[in-house]
Amino acid sequence: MLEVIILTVQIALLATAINLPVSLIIANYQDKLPSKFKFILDVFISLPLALPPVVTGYFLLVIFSPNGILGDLFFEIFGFDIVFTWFAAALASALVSFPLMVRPMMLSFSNIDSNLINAARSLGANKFQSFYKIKLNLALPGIWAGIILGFTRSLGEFGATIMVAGNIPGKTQTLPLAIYTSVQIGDDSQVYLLVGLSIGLALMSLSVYNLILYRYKNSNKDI
Amino acid sequence: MHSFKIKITKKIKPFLLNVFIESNANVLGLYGVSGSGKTTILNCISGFDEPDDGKIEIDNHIVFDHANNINTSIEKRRLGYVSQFSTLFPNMSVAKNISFGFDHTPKNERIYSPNEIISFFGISHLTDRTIYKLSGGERQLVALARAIVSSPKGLLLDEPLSSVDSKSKIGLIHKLKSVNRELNIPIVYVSHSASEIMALSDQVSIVSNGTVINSGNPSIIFNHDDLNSIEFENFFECEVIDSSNLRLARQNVLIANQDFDGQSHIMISINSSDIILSNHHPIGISAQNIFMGHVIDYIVSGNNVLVLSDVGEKIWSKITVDSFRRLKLSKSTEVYLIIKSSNINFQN
Repeated sequence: MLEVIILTVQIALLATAINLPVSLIIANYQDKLPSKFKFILDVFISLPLALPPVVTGYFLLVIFSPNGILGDLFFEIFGFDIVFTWFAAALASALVSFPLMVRPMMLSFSNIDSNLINAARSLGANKFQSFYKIKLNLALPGIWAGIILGFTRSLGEFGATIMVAGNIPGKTQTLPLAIYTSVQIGDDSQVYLLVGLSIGLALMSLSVYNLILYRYKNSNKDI
Repeated sequence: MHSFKIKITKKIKPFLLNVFIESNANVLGLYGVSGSGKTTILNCISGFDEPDDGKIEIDNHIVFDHANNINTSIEKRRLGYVSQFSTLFPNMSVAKNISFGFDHTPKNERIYSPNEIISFFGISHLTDRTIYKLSGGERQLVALARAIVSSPKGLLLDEPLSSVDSKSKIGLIHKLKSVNRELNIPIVYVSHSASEIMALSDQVSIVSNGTVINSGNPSIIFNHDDLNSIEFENFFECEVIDSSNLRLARQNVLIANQDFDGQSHIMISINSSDIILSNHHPIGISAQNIFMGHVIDYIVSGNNVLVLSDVGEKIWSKITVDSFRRLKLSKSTEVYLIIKSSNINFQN
């Protein structure tokens, strides 16, 4: 049981860590893109939301299988196959949760008045300083929202994970997959326990998110 | 005396911005209606926008020269910027906003400390506040203080008074005049308000559809504008004698009792329409301020005439053409200006 929880959290954390820098880069540079490219980018970013997760998982399986484009490359660099590993489960979770993570960040960054950045630069701050002292700081609520939403979505990822990582106990079996297995074998007490744990993890993540936002709002009032 | 050499060509919708301004003013005014291109000029000077061609030089400090491939980055131009919209950082207190510029100024180029400037602007009571707890006037005062703490080589002010109430406006004009006089920083002041340009700038360039159509003494604005619609406000800095007496040039100004809280000088404003002109000394009237002077200029537009009189200070009065003819006014005519105490406005 503990093994399933640890693996689930570990996969969700890695998925979040993979998505975070990509999301920040897209959110920060979205306004610099020509509107045509931005439109195309928006469509591709949202694609995992519209696609059934098993389709997303199938694509990953094709790409990362030993004969796939990236699978072959991965084997040459790291010396092992990525499919049916917990790393593949993290990749699947990252892809499926990506829209939920990047969208709040994009919204948050696009709401920042560019005059504030210009003002910071006119006061002597260079591009990087004005980014991390002003832009990143003002976008924090959106960044936290993206991180928590993405992390929570990763905790519950099922379809893509089972396609690319399988359902191997102790290796790739996450909470949703363990629930699925328990239902299949008719172990009701195990199902109740796992469902309870799953709800508990989701509630905990969302409570942390609300707590961070609450503290952020209050700290702004108090400064 | 400062020097501005601004030559900018830039395609902007719906016209081509093509300006050339050369001035030795301390405060250069850019006057024009909304959409005339004046803010784009300021953005090109600050580095927020890049001209297609041209050269920008303030006090022999070249910040842009297309021919020689010079385009100094915004932070290295060291030009303080204050706009009509609040650009204070919402994630910082007033004190942190003000020290932001100081922290990012190279140590060997720091001229003013945050405390000096906070004291200069009289805003020490605001420093612990979040910017959400500031009025419009206070926000602009803090933005101005923040810009100056970064020891700028020039100040770029884009309609900084357009969204503040009239009492705060008088106070801010007072502070801007002090900045110009005591800190000796060249200022480019953008506005569509004739009163503000007249109160602050030594020289003005009138911008229309992307070109400078006239440059010179700020009074040229009145040849450009429709005087029937213009609401002109005279701004003066007066010496405080006591709670009901001020000194304006050689004139004593009687006012309703005020507590000036130990200030030696204050700013007042008088609307040009609130001044009555007479060609002889009036007697038996309730108004207490009667200033003798002479007409030095007048501008006729439609049904109105703006009369510029010298009473030790130059004051614009707005009267009808009919009154102007009836009083037989002309240049050098002796004139009496009558102002009710209640028509004299003060800063907060």
